[in-house]
Amino acid sequence: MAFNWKVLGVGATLVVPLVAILASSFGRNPQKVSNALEGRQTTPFVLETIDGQSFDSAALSGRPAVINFWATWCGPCRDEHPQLKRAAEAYAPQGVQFVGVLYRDETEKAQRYLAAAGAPYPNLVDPDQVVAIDYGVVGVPETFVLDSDGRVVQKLTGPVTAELLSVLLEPLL
Amino acid sequence: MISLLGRAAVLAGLAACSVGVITGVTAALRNSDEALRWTRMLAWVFALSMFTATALMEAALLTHDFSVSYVAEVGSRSSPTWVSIVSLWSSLNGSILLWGCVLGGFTLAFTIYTRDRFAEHTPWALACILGVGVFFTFLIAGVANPFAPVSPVPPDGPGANPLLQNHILMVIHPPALYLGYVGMTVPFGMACATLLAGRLDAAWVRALRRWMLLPWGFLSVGIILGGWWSYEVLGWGGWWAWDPVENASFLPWLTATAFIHSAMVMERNTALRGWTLTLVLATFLLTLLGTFMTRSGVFNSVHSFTQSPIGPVFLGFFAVCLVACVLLLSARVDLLAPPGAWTARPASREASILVVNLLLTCVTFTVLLGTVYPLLNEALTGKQISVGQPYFDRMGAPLGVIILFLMGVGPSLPWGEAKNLERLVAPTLSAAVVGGAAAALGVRDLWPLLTVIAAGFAGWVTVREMIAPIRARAAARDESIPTAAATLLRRAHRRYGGYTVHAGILCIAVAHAIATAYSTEHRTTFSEGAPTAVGDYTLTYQGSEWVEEPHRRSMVAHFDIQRGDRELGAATPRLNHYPTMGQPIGTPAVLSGLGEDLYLNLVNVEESSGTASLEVLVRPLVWWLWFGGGLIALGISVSLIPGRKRAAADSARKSA
Repeated sequence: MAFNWKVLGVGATLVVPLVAILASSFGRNPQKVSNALEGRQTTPFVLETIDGQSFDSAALSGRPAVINFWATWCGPCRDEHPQLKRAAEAYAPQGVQFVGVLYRDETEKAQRYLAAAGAPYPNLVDPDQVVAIDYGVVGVPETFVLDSDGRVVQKLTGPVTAELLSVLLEPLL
Repeated sequence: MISLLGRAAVLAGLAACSVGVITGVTAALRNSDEALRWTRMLAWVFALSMFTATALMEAALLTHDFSVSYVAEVGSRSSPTWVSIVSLWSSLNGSILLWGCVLGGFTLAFTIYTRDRFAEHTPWALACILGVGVFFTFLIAGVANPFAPVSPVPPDGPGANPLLQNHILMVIHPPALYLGYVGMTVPFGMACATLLAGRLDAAWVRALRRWMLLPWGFLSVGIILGGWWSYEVLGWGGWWAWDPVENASFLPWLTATAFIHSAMVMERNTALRGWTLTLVLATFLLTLLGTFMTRSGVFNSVHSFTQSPIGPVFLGFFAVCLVACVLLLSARVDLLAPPGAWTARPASREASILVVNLLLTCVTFTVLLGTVYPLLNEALTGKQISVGQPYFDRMGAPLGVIILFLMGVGPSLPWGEAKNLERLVAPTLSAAVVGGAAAALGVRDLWPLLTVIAAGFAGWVTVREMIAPIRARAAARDESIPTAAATLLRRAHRRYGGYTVHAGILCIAVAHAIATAYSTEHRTTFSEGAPTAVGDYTLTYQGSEWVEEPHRRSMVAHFDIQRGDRELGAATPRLNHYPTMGQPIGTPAVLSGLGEDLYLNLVNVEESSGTASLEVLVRPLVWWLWFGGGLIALGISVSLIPGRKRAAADSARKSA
């Protein structure tokens, strides 16, 4: 059979890369966004908890941590709260420190909400969103998983699940 | 029971397709009437078994038979009946079944259409179409089986995706797109048949173009309905976001549009044959790519189904089709296209069609590149990026404006050679007047203004090309204008259909350019009973209420709208809460007018303080997008009316 080599050549130069790109992309998480903080240490902070006690981020060092930025006005945050609670209860005995940071919210509202929903870990008030700015928080909920050296392993945007946290935390224990 | 029957029907379809491919190829190679009869019969069996399988699935959805896996996945006893029916395309496996059903329908239509003609090409075409059928029935029988039995049978299901239940447009947008996507299989089969047979004639090319026009029309309508749905439901006030899956539907639309034009050249002479057939193959391949994008979980999009094992299988099929098409083209194209066929002058209709073809191809590559670039970048550098609106707008606007302009140039030029370039004078004046008027009205930005000017140019030509023949005929035959118009509409329906579509495209282009560039947005909190001015409008919040429905609870806010002293009526934007979805989904209230739309998106309601927050958008000319879509649908319908010869032949056969 006589092939038209021009057509064949042009066809191959289009087809091969396209299929290769698509094939190499399986398993990528299309929701994932690169974050400059990943693999880096975060700025230390000292904040007050909603009960008025002082909380120093130095308390996080030496063990893995999960920092969750949230607000009572945010529906997805309320949705993920039971999941965070479950993960915190499962991983606190293994040394993982969970911390909630309130984002643009009123302390009283958060107190009322947590009294009803339950809070097995400290929740901090972040006046003027200084810590949120340090962490590059764009919206809530956003959750940061830190290793025992205080480096960000991954930033999660949107509601998390206990299963997802467990996948990320297991290798850090 | 339904599990068993449904699966049996799918397997029957798979068997019919597989055997049909063999008999089809045999019929073509041996020129055997017997084998062709068998192929036709098997095409019938394939179609009927897909219809049966789909009907069984609908029956299972309507009777809430949760022993069927797909019903257990998307069904719910609380869903209204219409939601149960449309649940067929609310999730992956059901949508593939619908795909099979539509493919069955097109295969059947093509089998009936070719019953008494095109004996040379039909066996090849049927073999190719049934070959595609093999793949889809294989998917439905295997990795995407919606009929898998569930044990123990759950008492109730979670219900379909809330976004699907939110607006009635969702009933027609996916099926219209599917009719467009799947329908491209028929021209694909016909183009492959042309290459395999190594011959073509004018009647076959006309048939090919008609079979492309039909799915092209569905695809156009599906895309526009998708934009409309997005506008009415998603609450961001836009209709097109250059989302990968939107691009995926736009890509085959572009190549099919190019084909529809270059096929007109191919009907007249031997030029552009290889190119035109390439466009058909590319269109089909791009529909496969689009389907892959929606279903592989590789792209981030509001349209994506969740990740599934279907992705690799689909990519395999896509790769096989790509390679087969390239090989087929390179082996056969020289048989069809004698060199030196291009004889047209630069200022001719052929030349302008060629330029438009090249531009549409450029747009296709631009959009394709922007769509897969994030994947490429991640594969090479490991970094995630997204290619957004600015890229597509910047690249698309110049190409789009030139194409609009050529929509005026092409029809002004005669086939072969241009003698009377003065036909371009009046449209140029029209462009100047329209552009001046737009600038006076405040359109001062470069690309919106150029869009209006190009549309003014092409609009004049479009209207002239519709009216001039009527006036000429009326004058020549001493007929009244309505008589001449009626006769011409009947005889030259292809021409009138085509220009109606052009008019629709012009409406959409201008509306899109202006509405994107000149909309205003306000975010305001309203207190109950206090009239508040937003732009030219005055909105009064009249309170809100909870509305309970079986499948959702909705917060409905009531607003009275005034413009100046004129009452525009009430608007009720709402926030819908679905049990399976954390975030509420808004239904904006849209007050459409010929000049501009007022778009109210409910953000928040504080019941305790009696306030409601709204995002208020004022967007000009949006209505013309949907009107343009209507014109396209009308134009395509007019084009597809059977021609006089065909109708005469049909009636002769009936009376015989």
